[in-house]
Amino acid sequence: MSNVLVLAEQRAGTLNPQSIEVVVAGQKLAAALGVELDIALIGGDIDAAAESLASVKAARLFMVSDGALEPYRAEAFDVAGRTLVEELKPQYVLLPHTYLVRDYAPRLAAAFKRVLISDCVDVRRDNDNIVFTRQLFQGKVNADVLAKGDAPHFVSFQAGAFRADQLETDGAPSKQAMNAPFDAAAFKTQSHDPVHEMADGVDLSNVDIIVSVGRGIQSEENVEIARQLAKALGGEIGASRPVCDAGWLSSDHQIGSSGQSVTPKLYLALGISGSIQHMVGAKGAKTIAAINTDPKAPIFAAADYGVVGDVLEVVPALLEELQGGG
Amino acid sequence: MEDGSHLGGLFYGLAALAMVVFVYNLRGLASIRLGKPEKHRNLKPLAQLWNALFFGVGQARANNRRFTYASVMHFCLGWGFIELLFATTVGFFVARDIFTSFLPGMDVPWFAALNEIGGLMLLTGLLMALFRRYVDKPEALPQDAFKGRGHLLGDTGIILFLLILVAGGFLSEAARLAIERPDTAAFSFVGNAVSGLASAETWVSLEPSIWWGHAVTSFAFIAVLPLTKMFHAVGAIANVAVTDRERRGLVRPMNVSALMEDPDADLDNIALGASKSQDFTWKQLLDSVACTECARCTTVCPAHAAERPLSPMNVITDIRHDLYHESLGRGEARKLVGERVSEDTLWSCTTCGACTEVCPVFVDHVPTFTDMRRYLVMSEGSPPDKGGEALEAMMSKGNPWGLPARGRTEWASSAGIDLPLMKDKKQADVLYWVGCAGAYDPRNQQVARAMVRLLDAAGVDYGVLGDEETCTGDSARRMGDEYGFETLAMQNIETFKQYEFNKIVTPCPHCFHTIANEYPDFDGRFEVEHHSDFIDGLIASGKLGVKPTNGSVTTYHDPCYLGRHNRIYDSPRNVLAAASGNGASLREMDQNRNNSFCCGAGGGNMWYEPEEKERINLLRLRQARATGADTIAVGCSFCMIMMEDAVRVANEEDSVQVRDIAEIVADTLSTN
Repeated sequence: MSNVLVLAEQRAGTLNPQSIEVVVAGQKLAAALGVELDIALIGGDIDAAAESLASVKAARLFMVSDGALEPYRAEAFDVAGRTLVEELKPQYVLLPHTYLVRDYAPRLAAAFKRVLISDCVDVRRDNDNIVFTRQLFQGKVNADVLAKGDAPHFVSFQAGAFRADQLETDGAPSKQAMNAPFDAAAFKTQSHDPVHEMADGVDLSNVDIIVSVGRGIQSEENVEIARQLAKALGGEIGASRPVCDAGWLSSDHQIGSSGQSVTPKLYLALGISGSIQHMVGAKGAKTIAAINTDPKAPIFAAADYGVVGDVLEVVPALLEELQGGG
Repeated sequence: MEDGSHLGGLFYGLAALAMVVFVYNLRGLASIRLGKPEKHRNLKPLAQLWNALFFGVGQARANNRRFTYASVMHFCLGWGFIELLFATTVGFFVARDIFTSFLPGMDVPWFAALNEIGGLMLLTGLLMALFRRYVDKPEALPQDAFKGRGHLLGDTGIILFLLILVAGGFLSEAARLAIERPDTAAFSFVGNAVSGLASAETWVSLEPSIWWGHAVTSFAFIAVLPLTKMFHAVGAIANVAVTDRERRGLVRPMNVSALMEDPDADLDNIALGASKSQDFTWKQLLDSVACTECARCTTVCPAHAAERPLSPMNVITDIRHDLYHESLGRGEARKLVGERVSEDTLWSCTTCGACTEVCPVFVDHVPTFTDMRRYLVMSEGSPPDKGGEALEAMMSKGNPWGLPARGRTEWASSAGIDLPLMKDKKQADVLYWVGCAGAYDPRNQQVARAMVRLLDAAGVDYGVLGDEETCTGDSARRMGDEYGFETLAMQNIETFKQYEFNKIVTPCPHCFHTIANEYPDFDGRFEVEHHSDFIDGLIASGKLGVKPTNGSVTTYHDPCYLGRHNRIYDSPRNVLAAASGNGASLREMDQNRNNSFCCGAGGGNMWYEPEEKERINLLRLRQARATGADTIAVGCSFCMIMMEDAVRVANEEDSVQVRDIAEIVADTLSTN
């Protein structure tokens, strides 16, 4: 029986975290089918990213590296994907539902006259069937989808559908370079250099720990202790709008409906009242801990952990603990 | 007067020529044919005639207390001009012995004096206009006064031209008086005084030149009038005459859903929204032609006050420039949306309607801006960055914050309130529409709970939709996402139709406006009341026993979508008056009622951040604080969020509070 293939994605040498989640899905599916898992990495300079897959439990790691793949172009990724699928003849091709995948995967699937089963949240074996789960109607309904007809079948997974920490890492996939027939002259699209939205600002969207300051910090000088706390925790500093409006931190630190939306593991809210305009920016946080003098502040309704107290007393104590302990 | 024997041929020839050129130059007005048909307007002959006479010829809306100087100036100019037009017409007929049986002679004392007054008024108005442009210099007026904004002769040129006409008129009059010496010369007091400056012989020798000079400049004025700023005398009357005042301010329905689902539609060539002159209706183009460039809209615009890149006047005249380029080949070729009018300009508008409110010639700015936003969002897929997220959230989660669609009643359950759901009741007297802010925003949740206390205290039979409620689509529509708006509107209308109720009551003016004025276009006709009207009614009918115990000094902030857009000014004030006692006082801000100043959240501005120098909500907070009030009363969920935000940013939490009228009333209820 033929294998399961995961098409992984990287940027500037770093594996895209959603790709790891799809490798987990691939490991689960391969085990359910009793076949082996292959991973393919497509991109320009992919050696560094490949390194991070060196111990993943998988049979083979294919590397398609070519200048035509950097910067991203749908046609080039399509050629790479087609070559891999034609060569390896996998049963299932699994992809992370990233922006790139949304762009090139429908084209790739169509080349094999298949649909793309997109944005799935789960996969399971049900007797002889492999069942994929997709959300419908704004997530109100889950639909089970079967892939009918002959392989290959193309499936993409939603971010967070699988947990990266369940990755099986007791393997050593054999690395194999693979060439694909790129004909850059035939490509009709041209890619420009990626534009970074926060041109010279602070990108808090991928930070694990954010120490966010609100008006309760009382003065510009006090922002420094929050900065120290962020440093001690290995995180970054963010702020609510009043703090940015007051100029205590530049506006690219602003979190909320008129600032950045963040998804840290820990969101530490210092002296933030928790108005909705701020909290929507932090609603993706896994854990929210809040320090505020007002026990009735709305932040405590949103927080998992709360301390009723003055930021200027609690934070120095916290710093002392962290630095003393470390 | 003129000696017909040797002047006739040349005079009539020049007059005819002037008229021909005048008509030729009216092409600007005719170019509105480029526009699309106007649906959804309902013109009634008598109302339109009234508009033309009262607001057009009568210039009623040029008089505005907020613009005293300009109003006096325009009164002098406008009525002086009309009087002289009348005098000239009478003079023409009298000189030819036509209609003399009922026309006054030029030297009949009252008519002679009236004509002098007409001339003096025009002169006064012109001098006031010059003073304004060179000494007073209001920022919103074009500063390059000879160029204006594309008119021949600009602002100053046409003033000087009119001054020459006034001078010519008085000189002709002086010469005639010096030569004819009527008994009643003294009543032509200006002309008579001028005639005394030179001897009779001098006047005799100068008379032909003076008279011809005046005739030729007058003809020239008529010929070029449509190219100059004075064209508004024609354009404005035409525009007010065809304005449907009942639908003014309402955005035009598009029915995108039907358009998208029509299998025969040529999807590649459908213009969604407006990016060029041809995409507007002829009335929108007529608006642009009629604009006088008085800059009152820009002067009252809150976005302009916050130094955002928006001048409503400039957008309207940019449309005119585009129209004249497209139809007459005038000026340079530039894209309307993106070049003449930048995207930032369009996203700066809060749709507060202050511009529409103040425009003397009934230009309808906001719907026109909305059509251009529709182009940006639906044709270009280019909403303002953070705004796009809110639009997506409205569609996917049913609320602009993107919070879980199934959490719409937690504000009640978490407080131990057992909400009556329409799902269970099926019928109720009142359907209480909580709105997204009431459902999700912690501050507005307090208002929602206050509403429940009021409804219970008054014994109202009510129900809420709970998780069946979804965003009305207000912000989506204001931001130009008509497809999203229609989807949400139709969803809500379907939900409403499942249940029996007498009326909908909501504390959110945006929801109120949308359901009351916009859902009917989608076959959703429901009686809906803003909570200020509803509470006012409960108090007046004695159902709600309010004790006047609120002791704070309160100022009420009129929300744009309650006040200007729906003319509800008194109910919230009545409610506050009923609740106030114990030495409390209600103080008005300078900008109140229809002159209210936006909080800055309307038009979807809640969901993105336009570039600005000063925050609009901070400007409004300062106005509120200037009254000395310690409580700012609001009647709108958005105003609540914006004013609270301003109080925090200004660090005035200890000295002022922002409260919804429902909270203020709920606090005064007897507790036993």
